[in-house]
Amino acid sequence: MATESNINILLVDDEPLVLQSLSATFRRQYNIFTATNGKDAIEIVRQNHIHVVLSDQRMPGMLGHEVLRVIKTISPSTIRILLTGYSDLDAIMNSVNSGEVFRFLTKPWKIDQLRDTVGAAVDIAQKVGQLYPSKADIMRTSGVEPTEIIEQEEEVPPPPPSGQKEGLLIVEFNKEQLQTMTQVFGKKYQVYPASSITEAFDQLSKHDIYVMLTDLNLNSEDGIDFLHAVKQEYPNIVIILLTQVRDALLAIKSINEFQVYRYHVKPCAVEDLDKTIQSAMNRARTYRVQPLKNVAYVAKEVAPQLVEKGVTEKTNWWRDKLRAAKKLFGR
Amino acid sequence: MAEKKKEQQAGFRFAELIIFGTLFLALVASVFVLNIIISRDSQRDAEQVFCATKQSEYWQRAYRNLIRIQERLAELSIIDSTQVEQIAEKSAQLDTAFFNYKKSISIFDSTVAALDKGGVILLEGIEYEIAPVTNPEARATIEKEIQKWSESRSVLLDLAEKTPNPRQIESSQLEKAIDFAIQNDELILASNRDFIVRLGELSTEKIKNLQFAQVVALVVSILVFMGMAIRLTISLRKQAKIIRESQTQLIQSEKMASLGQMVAGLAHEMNTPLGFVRNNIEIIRENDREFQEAIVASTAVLKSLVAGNYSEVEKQIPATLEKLKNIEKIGLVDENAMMIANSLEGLDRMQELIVNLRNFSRLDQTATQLANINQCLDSTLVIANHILKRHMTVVKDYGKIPDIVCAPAQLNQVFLNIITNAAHACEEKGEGVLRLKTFVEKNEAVVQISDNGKGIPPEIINKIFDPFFTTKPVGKGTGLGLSISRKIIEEGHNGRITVKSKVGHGTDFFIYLPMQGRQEKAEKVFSESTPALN
Repeated sequence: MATESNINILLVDDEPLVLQSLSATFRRQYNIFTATNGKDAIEIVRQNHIHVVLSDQRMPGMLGHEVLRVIKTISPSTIRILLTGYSDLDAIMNSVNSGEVFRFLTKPWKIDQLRDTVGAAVDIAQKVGQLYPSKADIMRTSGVEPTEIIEQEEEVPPPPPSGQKEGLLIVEFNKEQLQTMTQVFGKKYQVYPASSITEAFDQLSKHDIYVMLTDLNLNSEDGIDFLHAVKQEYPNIVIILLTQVRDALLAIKSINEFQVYRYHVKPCAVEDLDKTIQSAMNRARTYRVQPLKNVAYVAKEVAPQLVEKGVTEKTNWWRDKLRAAKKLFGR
Repeated sequence: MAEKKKEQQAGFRFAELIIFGTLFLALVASVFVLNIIISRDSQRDAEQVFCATKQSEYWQRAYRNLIRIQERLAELSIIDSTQVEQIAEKSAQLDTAFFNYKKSISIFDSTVAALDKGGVILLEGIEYEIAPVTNPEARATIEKEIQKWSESRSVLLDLAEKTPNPRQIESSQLEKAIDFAIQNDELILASNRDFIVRLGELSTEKIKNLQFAQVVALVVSILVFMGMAIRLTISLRKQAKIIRESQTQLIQSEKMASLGQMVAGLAHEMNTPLGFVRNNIEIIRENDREFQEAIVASTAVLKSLVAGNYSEVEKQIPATLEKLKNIEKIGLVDENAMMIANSLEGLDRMQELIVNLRNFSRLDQTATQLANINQCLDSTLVIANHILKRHMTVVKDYGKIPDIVCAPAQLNQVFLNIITNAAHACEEKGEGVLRLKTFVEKNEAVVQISDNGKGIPPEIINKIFDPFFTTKPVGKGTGLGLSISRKIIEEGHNGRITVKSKVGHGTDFFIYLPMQGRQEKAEKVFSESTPALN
């Protein structure tokens, strides 16, 4: 029954009936690999060039986000989607902050949405695959243990020469906290403080922002819409959420709509936040040099239909504004 | 906030208790102090009365002896000097009288001084210390006597002191003394009598006042005591009510927590079949579209054939064949069959879940009924599946157990609680074994729930059934799970629950449920022991 497709997708779920159902959904378009546990899934990724992996979160042994994390180190070009049945907050937080999931899908899912997401992921994977043409092949043929590869740090473009600081936009509605953070991080980065969405908009229009550290206690839906619009217009900006609410739905939205880089819950240690900002800066530099490493950027390029899905009127309004500002300031 | 308020209330009660206690003690102490003062007063009064009595007595003695001296002197002056015997006798009598007079008058003098200014009197070799009379009413009765005496005391004292020989007493001096004695005898005696009476009256008055004060203090202290008792009762009741309320609240929240646990488990278990059944049906629909197209095309071919329209048939056949081939090639018929079978299985699973939920909660059944413990364990396992699934292997070792009368929903809550704890105990290890064993021992059904997790340290094993004891972080456990479990087993089922644990090796919970006893109770026809029918 196998088709001649050269796209490989891996389905991971401990429930065989789910695997059968998902296989039936995709078998006409793609080559299907299935695994009922994390270990098998990792082995399959080692042996084959997998474009997209769709994994359940709750499984015996390794949890879904753990599997995805390992897969990321073995095959960075594989686009990872997490299917969560039972909205388990801790699991979602963990996957946001470690697995770098492309999308979350919740059970029970709708077939169209599933197909669209997987389709977009396949497109992205093909595009991103150009970056890593033969990494998986090398691994397969050389027999190098992936554990060693895991240790390898991704090459990071060097930081700009001293005296030239990278832009850090901090959006925080509490003025006192904003001032504190501006002072703390002002030594290392060019901090642009903003205490409202409007101010953030101004700063975005006028300055070159690498990383955006933002609160999402945004009183209204505005926050998510705004961030969505920002990520659309400036896909290279790395967004870190710093919020008081541990909310699974919010975490899912921030992954699905603006590919949040890290989700920090207030209050958090300065050192942790500093580390996160530092790695976000590295990430932002990488994006500027190698845009293909930026899933959000690629997604916008190759699968605009998926990106447009979550767009609300408000998002579009912000996007228009941002675009106009961009033109005005010539950036 | 609420706790702070409670603390404040407790502090207020404590302060109040101190105030009440101090008041009560002060009242009791004041009664004692009054008593002491008054008794000291009356001791002083008694001494003064004693002094006054002695004064009268010695005055009378002195007076008598003074008269006797005069008589003896007169008798001696008329007796012949020849009657030596008679003279000697009278002289001796005179000497005695004089001696008595001398002694009496000096004692009298000291008693008057003592009553006036305070001092010591010496009576038959014993010293008595007398306080001066200060009470003005009492003093008024003896004032005149003191004055009279101070005017003439030298006359009477000189007579006693300055006469070496009684026979040489100057008659003028004697007369003066006798004059004073005769004139004042009445006054002195009356004064003393009045003084004694007055003192008596005064002390009666004092005692009356004392009694009144005592009664008042007693009444007030009783009132204070009652007030304290009432306040304490009220606040104790309030406290008991607060404790009861917060306990009810906690028990309720424990119930809600276990309900939440159940719902979460159910939702997770439902989501999986729901997910693939939905997906399957969408696939079936898509496939169905292709079947329909094939059927429409085939029907058209058939119709053309029947109509004898062969040129049309020739035109239609390739496309129709292509459609049918495609269906065959990708195995859509088989796929549909599989999808339908899988969906039915998924639906069965959902149905099973619902049945299990019903078995677990028994919402639609009476609380107490005949139930099979093994079935209870099974339905609990379904509910707990999402906690166990990741890292626990379940081993069932069920014995043959007759149905027992119990409250299955409550027992399930107990089982779920212990099973959840077992799953948590194995979390650090990453994998574990949950063993469920049931067997009959004597008259009891025994459920043994074992894990090979981290175990319970011996220093806390005695506390695990205590209310509010928990090792879980704040917000994760109420600390009531096991205490409620014990209540359900011990009070609800007349059973026992025990635990054995070894750190690093695992924990075993044993639940003993009597197989008889409650059954008799349940089989009673009437709620009262002797039904009275008219």
